[in-house]
Amino acid sequence: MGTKSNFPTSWLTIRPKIIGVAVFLATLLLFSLIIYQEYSLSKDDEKQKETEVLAVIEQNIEQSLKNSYMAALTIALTIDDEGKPHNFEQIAGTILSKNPTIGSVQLVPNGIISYVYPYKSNQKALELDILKDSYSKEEANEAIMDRNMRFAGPIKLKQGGEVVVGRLPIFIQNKFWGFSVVIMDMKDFLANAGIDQFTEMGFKFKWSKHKTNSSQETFFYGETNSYDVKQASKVYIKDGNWSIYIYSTNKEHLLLSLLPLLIVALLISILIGFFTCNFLQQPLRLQRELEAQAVQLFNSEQKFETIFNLAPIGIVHVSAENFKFITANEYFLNKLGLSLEELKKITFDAVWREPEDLTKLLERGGRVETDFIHTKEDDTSLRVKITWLKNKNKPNYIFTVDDITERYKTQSDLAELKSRMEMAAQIAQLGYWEWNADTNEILWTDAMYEICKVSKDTKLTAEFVFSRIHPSDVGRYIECSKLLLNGKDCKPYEIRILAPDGTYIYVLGHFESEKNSEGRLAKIKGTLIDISGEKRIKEELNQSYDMVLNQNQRLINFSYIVSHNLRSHASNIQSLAHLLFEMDHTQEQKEMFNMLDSVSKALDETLFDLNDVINIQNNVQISIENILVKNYIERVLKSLQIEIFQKNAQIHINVPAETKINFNPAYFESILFNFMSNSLKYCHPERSPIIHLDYLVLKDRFVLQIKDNGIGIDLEKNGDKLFGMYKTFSKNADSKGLGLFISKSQMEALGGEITVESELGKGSIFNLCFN
Amino acid sequence: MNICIIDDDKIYQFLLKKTIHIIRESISVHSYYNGEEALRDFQKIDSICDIIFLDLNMPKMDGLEFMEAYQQLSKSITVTPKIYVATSSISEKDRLEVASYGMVKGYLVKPITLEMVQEILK
Repeated sequence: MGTKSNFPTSWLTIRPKIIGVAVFLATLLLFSLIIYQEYSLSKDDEKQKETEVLAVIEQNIEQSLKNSYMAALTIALTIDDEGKPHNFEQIAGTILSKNPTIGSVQLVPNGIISYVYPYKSNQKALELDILKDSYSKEEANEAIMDRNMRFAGPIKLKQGGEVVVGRLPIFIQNKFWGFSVVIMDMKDFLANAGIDQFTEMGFKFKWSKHKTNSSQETFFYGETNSYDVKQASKVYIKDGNWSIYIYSTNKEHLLLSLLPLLIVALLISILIGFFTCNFLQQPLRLQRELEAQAVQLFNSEQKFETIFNLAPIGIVHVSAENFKFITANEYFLNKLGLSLEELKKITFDAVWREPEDLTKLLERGGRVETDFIHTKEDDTSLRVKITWLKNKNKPNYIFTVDDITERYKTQSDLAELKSRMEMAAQIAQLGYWEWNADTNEILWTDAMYEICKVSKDTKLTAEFVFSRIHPSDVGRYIECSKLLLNGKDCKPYEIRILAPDGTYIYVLGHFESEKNSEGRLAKIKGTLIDISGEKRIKEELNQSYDMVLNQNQRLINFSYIVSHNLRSHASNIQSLAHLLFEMDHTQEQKEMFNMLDSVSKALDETLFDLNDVINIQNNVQISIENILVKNYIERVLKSLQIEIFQKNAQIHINVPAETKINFNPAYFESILFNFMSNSLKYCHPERSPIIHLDYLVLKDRFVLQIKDNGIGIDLEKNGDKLFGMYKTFSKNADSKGLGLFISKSQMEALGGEITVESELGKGSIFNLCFN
Repeated sequence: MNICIIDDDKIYQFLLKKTIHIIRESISVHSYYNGEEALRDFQKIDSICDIIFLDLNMPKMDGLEFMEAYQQLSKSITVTPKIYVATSSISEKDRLEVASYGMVKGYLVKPITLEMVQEILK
């Protein structure tokens, strides 16, 4: 396409504009020639007309002059041989009446005007000697010389007007007698010649007089500058020595009259040129359109291919005969993880998990949802939606395959989730309700009816819901509703609902507002849970708590009073025993007083300990400080140094020097002292005590671990009593059993905890867990 | 030397007096059952004690009240006695409260032993 396969066509198609212009010029030239021809013909025609008119005029003038000559001759005949005119008046009158062009006649014997007719108007001319008068003598003499009639004029008359004067010399017996004169009014003369008539027809005349024997020419008629006499036709009249010129003014308008024709010719030329150009451009345009269409077609093909391959849906072309793949787009190939070559080796029904579905689909039409086998990933299924159509002219099908695995999964998950939620709501006895802002409808789930103890056919209205609420809770309910209506949040709250039996049900409500896509309130919804049971339990619990608190307080007071008062007595007994012991007694008495002393001392100590316990448990505001652990370990070891030395104990401390805890210093020292001294006290009789003090972090808590190789505790037997008051498990004489109880109390008073691991005969591990 | 015992416990009064006399027979010991009684006597006889053993828990005027009142009184007295608080209470609270009184020389927890009295009389 586009090559110059045909030269002339191509050349023409390449330069249509130039050719158009050429055609235009040629046409214009042709028309110009025709018009010029026309013009020339018209011009000749006019010339012809001029000649014809001139001939007529010449004839007319000849006629006038002839008539004048005849008139002059007739007048001359009135003269007798003696030279006397007879009947001049009568004959002159007859002549004038017959020749209207003749204004007057005269007889001029010897050059003197002697007879005039009509007398009245010409009497002034009488006695004038024309042979001597300057303006007439020349011509008069010429006439005598010629012996022929001569016409002079135009002559301006004294009385006004112009006249042509014809003078006929009269010879009697060859002797000059005088003149017979005919005078014609110039106007009449011209009119008679037909000049007026032709002037009206568009001819212009000029009339000149030649002087005898000279080339001098004097124009006396016609507009001097209207045209050049050289372009005009001309006739010479010898009798008057006149030249008459004629010029047709039509000649001037000739070009003008041809102008419309010229314009038409120009227009036609332009049209022809334009059409030629247009016509010649046609193939070029067609060719261009063809090219454009070819490009478009190419683009469309490419587009189609792109769409086919990039379509977000699988498209396959399958033979109707054997389900062999003809082609498939990339989406489909990607979904099945196959290349086109691999695909062409298998048939379409092979990728169907249930191939009979395909047969059904083709029989039934419409669409189907089914599973495809992902051949590369063994048995993985793809959930797909398939539509199809049969190719009209060919025996094959086109299938579209949409991968809906995700959607299918989501739907399944959603259904699963819904059933789970329903189940959860069922199990939790959770009632769900919603109020539709547009329709004012209220929806309750079955659980709601159960919670509120109303039958399921109860008509739900705002008034009904309102009437169910305890009067004291109505305010709260309204306040919350207002918040929700204004799109704000409302915290969950408890309200009481009136049951049909007149009792109140405690419920906990959660509320939420839902907006539609325009941001306007669409729904208010919430859940309700019956907490009457919990409420009752809580109330009972509160009551128990109050009671216990009360009892505890009373117990503390009681124990305080007891310990204080008992101590007074105990100390008195002790003092008494002491004093008595100092006195003189028998041996037996002495022993008894000694016993009394130790009993009173033990009583006092017991009361002392009891007071300690009360102090720990009662003291709620214990100061807590950030204390350096190492310092307290050193202090405790110092105070125990005698025992350590005596028992040859090894103490291994593995606590970083900078370790700090938040605890009460006195308690910490007391606890540490207790466990350390216990470890030393309850050492195994067959080996030296080895005590490990370790710093650990267990479950985000700081733990001080005290590990010994002592006698150990049978936890199975005594575990529950280990930290009880006054429990001792050893036969050791010093053990009182209160130490662990106090330490545990102190630990717990500050949120700590003590755990123990032990094996009888091997040793114990105590973990002090600090918060 | 004069020693005052202010305590509502009659047995205690007797035992302490006995203990003091064991150490030194010449010391005169005055006993009062409560602060009010002691204070009244102090004003009347204008006697000056060298040492007062003061109990905290007493009817009518307890130990702390007595010290308040005595502070007012002692402004006119040039020689101030040494006050030892002797109580069967081992409460930390009581101990702290007592410590705020400048005139208290010691806090004794009953029973008061011979050794304790010897130490004080030194």
